[in-house]
Amino acid sequence: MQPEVSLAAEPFCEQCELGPLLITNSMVIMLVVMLALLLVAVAVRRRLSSVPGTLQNVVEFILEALDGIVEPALGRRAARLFPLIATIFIFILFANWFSLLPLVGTIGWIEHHGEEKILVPFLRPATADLNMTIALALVAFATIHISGIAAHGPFGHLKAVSQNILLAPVFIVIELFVIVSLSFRLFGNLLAGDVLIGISGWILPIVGAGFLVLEVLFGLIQAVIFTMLTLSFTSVSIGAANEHA
Amino acid sequence: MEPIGAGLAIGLAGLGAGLGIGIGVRGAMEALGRNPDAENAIRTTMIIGLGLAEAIGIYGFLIGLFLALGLGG
Repeated sequence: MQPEVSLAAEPFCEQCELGPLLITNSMVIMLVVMLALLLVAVAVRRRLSSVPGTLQNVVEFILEALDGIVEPALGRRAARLFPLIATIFIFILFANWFSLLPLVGTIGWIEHHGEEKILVPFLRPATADLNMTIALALVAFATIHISGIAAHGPFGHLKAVSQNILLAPVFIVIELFVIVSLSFRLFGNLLAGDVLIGISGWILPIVGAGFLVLEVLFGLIQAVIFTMLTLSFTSVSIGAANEHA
Repeated sequence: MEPIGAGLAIGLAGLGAGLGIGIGVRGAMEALGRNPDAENAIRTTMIIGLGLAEAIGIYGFLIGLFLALGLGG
């Protein structure tokens, strides 16, 4: 047996396909996190009271902290974009943290490749899968440009993005690169954490425990960075309209 | 060649990211010393900047990993 570093997510089971869609082990975690967040939201919604209980207090604390960041950046458009940006943050945060639970990435079945034995885990961190992070980055990209178009109209937005007729292609490529940088940053960080903990756990488990504590911090920081970058790019792309208001 | 390339990728990317993070934190510390009231604004901006700098190191790590796993073709 040896630690296995794999970049792609593995299928969750032999025959689990939804039409053309293959259910992978990182999708399972994504679905679990989504379901858990939905259940918490529904539970809070059903027992909403003006004297908040414990759960409502926690949820209100997170949302108010986020609102304190989104409101100054987006001004009068904050109410419209807040749900999306808060959802991105909360989802990435809990997907990152959920991936640190003991059973993720460590239990699975053994596959034989000739002489080698390889562990195929049942669960794989959702954000350590490039498909997941590219999907998130595409949502962020759409948010940035749709809100820009809503603020300035299609041609006004194109003008604001390209700045100068000669340099327009360069600036458009830079805008497109936002997708790559957002998705690879999140993917690389989470994969690096996963690999680091995995390898150090094989060599000297106590070191792995230390990295695990660091990963809790990195999970939060990456969620903050992804959200703040989305927010500040959106803020820039609707910026001029805000000044006139 | 691949192991050398992988080592160089992570090493040079780490060098760049380390320099960037160091310069960024230095700037933030100086700003904080000059204007301690702006701590929250400085911290937020610094974390974003550090994220951007750190991403370079992460790209190097990914490329190193691709090379080490033989995905470079």
